[in-house]
Amino acid sequence: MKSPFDLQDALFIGFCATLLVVIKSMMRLKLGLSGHSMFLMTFFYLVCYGAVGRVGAITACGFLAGLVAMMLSVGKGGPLILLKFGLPALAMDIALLLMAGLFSLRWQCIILGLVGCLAWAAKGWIGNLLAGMSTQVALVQFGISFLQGGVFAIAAALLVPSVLQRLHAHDLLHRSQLDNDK
Amino acid sequence: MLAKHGAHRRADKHAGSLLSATQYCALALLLSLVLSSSAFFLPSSALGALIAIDLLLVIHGLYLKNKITALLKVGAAQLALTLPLYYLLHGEAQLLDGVIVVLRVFLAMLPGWWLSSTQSPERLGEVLSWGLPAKWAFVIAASIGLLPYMLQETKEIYAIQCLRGANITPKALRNPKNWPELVYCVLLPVLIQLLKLSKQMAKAAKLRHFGKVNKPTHWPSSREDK
Repeated sequence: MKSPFDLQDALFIGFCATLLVVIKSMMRLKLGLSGHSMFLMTFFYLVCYGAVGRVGAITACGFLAGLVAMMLSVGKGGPLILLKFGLPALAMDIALLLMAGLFSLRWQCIILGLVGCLAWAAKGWIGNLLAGMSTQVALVQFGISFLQGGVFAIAAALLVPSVLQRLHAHDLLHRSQLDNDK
Repeated sequence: MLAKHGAHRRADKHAGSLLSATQYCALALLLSLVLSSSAFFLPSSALGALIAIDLLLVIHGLYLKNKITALLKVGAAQLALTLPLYYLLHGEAQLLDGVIVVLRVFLAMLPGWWLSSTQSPERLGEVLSWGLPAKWAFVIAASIGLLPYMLQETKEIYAIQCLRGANITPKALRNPKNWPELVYCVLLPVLIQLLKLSKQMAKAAKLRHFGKVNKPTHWPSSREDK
């Protein structure tokens, strides 16, 4: 048991991941836009990071969400869905390592959202290239999905700091990002 | 491959005679992974064989009364987006290439649909937990076990906020201006509930000496597995 998270954090991450998957599966039918999943993903990943306050929380949340999605049979990707949730999370965590403490929480959230969206769009891009799509067409599709996802990701990233502040005001975050800022 | 597939199905019907349901599920997971990745890496000439195998999976899935319309819709949307782009950038001559690309992506998604529509989620979870540390397996089991409770809680919060007059009814949500209200009225209380729930669960598990012994004990498996 050398995991850096204690049981309470791990459970919170698991609950967030499950809720993400369930809400995503409920929303999928209502909206036709392809980027809206980035909204939920960014929101829950950033809340996880804010509440647990450790690098690695986002990756854990991402892969748990992928596993749960696979078990609940959400989405059509099968094993690929693990990558769909996991890759943006991994990219966000790596970005977090690179820019630790450089920006205020709000800018950190926005940059993380964009990085996650970039990874999300890049996954589709690489998939298309592997399938033999020509470079130009794949690039245009990459651009379209990045723009669509980016709008949703930024919208979510702007909401997260105020949500975290409210949670902090209720004294619910025991060692959060907000504590470290003081 | 054909014979193997048939053997799988038989094993499913008479569970326990040849393979347990869990082993069968692990094989199915492996098969769908192999088929998914071969959709990307096989040369175009071998795609015909892959289509034939995937067709068998589709027949199996449809035979078990699963719907494939959602997957077909995704494929059609992909086709509608890709073909005009190919036409604009490369002209008419390479339209066939575009169709093949979309076909490959579609073939990569098909085994996943087959897996999730023919395998029960519990068995899939059991297979996945072979490779996970005990703590994370517990976290996943607890999350899925508490899912109905979380959904119930979310529904109650939503209903109560609607009664209080928040602009979050499905009609009001058509206006994007009301979306932040949904986050603050519903998602924030749900997060507070989740924090509370995780604290209680962690405490309850620790009081039962969770993580104290090296070899974790399990609740005995249900009757159908035997």
